[in-house]
Amino acid sequence: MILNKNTRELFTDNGDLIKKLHCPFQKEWAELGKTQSSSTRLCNQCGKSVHDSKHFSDAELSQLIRENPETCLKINSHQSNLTLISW
Amino acid sequence: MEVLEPDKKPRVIKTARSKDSINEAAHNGFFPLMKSVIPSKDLRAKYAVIQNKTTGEIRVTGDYRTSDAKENETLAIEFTYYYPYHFKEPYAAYLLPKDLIVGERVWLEDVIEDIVGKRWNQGNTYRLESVEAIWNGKDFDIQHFLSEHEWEMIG
Repeated sequence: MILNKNTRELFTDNGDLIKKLHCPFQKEWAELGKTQSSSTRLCNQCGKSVHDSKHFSDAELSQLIRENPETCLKINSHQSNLTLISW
Repeated sequence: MEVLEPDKKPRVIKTARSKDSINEAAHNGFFPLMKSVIPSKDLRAKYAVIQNKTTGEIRVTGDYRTSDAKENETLAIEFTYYYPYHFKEPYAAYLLPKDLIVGERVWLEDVIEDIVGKRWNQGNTYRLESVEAIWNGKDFDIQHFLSEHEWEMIG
């Protein structure tokens, strides 16, 4: 996946937009509630699930967002499946 | 642009943050490179206020580890993020020496741009205060790459 950190847009490696990341509460992963899955946490502010994108392929992420566009993702700058652009 | 490798310590580029200090530098032979002071949403600190239910006295904390309300205390204000920096004027200037060379490495003593220099794993971020930079003839290319530092984004 490709992230433009300036616009917060996340793309597949083919350039298809997955979603534009936005969190009005500026949450950090460490602040989120733990769930039974280590790759998913729960936001106690808005109630949404937040998925750690390092565990997903581009296709899986695209499907996840297609099925529920409100799903939130966590991106870490050091995850191996990420390319950063437009610094 | 050819980057000139230093044979000595880089020159220090001063910053002026008021009209008078900018004009004084201009009179002294420097050219002020004007910049707007623009707060970044990426820079933030947090606080919470815990209040004694009886006396009304408060304590303020910025650390999750010391935020539990004790007996007879209540959390008056939950953890709230804010922009923690204050500058008197909304503009500032790097003071360019007249003999500054394109490609010259310098040390910006007081960075005007809001750049995240450090991050605390509790969510706080801190301004980059000083940094090495290269003069490209129009502006400084700041030699601080956030990609070297781990960060995360949620949304």
